Amino acid sequence: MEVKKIMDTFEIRDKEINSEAIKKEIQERIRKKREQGVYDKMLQEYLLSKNESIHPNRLYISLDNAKKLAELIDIDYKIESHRGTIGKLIIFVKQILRAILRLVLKPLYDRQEEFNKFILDYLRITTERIERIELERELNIPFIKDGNKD
Amino acid sequence: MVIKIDQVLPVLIHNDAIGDEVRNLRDILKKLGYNSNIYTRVTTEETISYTYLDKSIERIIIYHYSTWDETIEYILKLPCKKIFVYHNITPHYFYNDCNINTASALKKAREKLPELRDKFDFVITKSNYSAQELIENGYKNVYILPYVIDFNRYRIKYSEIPVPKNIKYKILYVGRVAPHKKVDELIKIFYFYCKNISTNSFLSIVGDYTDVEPYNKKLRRMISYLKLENVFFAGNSDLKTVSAYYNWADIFVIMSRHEGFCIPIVESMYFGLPVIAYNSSAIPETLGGTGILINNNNYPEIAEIIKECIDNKELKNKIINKQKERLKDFSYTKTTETFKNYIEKIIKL
Repeated sequence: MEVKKIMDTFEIRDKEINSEAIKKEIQERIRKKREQGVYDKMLQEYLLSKNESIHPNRLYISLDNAKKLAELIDIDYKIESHRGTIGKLIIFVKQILRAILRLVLKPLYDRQEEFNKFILDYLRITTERIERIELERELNIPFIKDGNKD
Repeated sequence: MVIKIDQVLPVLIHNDAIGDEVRNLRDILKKLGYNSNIYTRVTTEETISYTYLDKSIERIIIYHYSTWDETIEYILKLPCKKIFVYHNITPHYFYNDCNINTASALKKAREKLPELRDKFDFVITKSNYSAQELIENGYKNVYILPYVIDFNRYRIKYSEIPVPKNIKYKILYVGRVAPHKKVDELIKIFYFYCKNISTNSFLSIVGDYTDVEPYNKKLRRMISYLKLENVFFAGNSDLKTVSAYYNWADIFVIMSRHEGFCIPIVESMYFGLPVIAYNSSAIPETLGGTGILINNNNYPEIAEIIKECIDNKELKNKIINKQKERLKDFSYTKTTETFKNYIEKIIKL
């Protein structure tokens, strides 16, 4: 079976330049750096710095908070008052007002609720995707980990 | 008898390859004794609205094609002789995520390419790469005219530029900050450079970044994640500023995946900067066997070859000298003469 060689990273077409010697020297330099763990250190530094800013955990925490907030919204919450007899009147007036407003606002509320659900779902899918893609990238950085494979 | 040779394009932009070319051709045509104006859809003080083009046959129209625009539909109805100048079209998919209008205009422009082949009397393009594409679309007799660049225009007093002093490795990119230019890859290379080779380095990115805002934002976020402090976006810059950057830099690097020609490569040759460029589209042709071509995105290795090009004086000088030789192919006299010959040919048609 024919094994295809991965194309050299760079090419110098000027015949007066010994490009093979340059390639060899650069590959040797990279090999040494890899052995010294230079690239691993760099990668770790990058991953650590990423933890400070955009780790997927933070995205999930924000998402959970948003979900809780969305669940807290209840159009039929209990109307209460601490004002004794007059309080009963206040509750009654508020209930009447809510019943009237409900007629106008309920359709809007329903649409908003639907929109919120859609956005939350969208954010969840997006967050999952980001996490998966990042993980994939972190585990699959051939040039840093192994260099060119013939 | 033809006394007018006018040029038409959607919009005339400053510090832009096509915009500069149109101005240069107008000046040459005027020197040759022709009456020559620039007609556009978006008018400026230099241009006239394309709707003022009348049905006179004593005129030749040069149409500059790089995207789809209503101006082409208008000029196709005119009875005069027409020259099609194909600057190539950026593949639309590069713009899908950041500018859907641009993506759709580019897609339509490429789709319409076969239809336009019989509508023009003369076809000019900027490289063999672009000529090949036209031939594949059924075009015949495609003539090549590289961009007309008057190198004397760089002999000016440079502007002051905001770059730190005493920087050891000065890396430059000139061109639009657009998705197909792969400035994101350049930033990643520079990250490897700073981390593993030298922190005493600086990357200047000179070119308009207002066109594709989501891509620009992505780059800024990337710079922030990577904690790179020594990257500077100069934006759309005038000739004095661009020349100052070329004069400042040690090396020119471009990772672009699509170029119908590549003027910044030629400018780098003029300013004596070694060129490292991605092996795509018309880039190898513009380099003409000089410079260094990149075949993949092995960032650690690309960073090392950049260092080698700056530190290894023998290598650097060999590259620069060869590039100076190549530059002669793009001399103002040569390109102007070619353009003159084409104009004579079309007049005789």
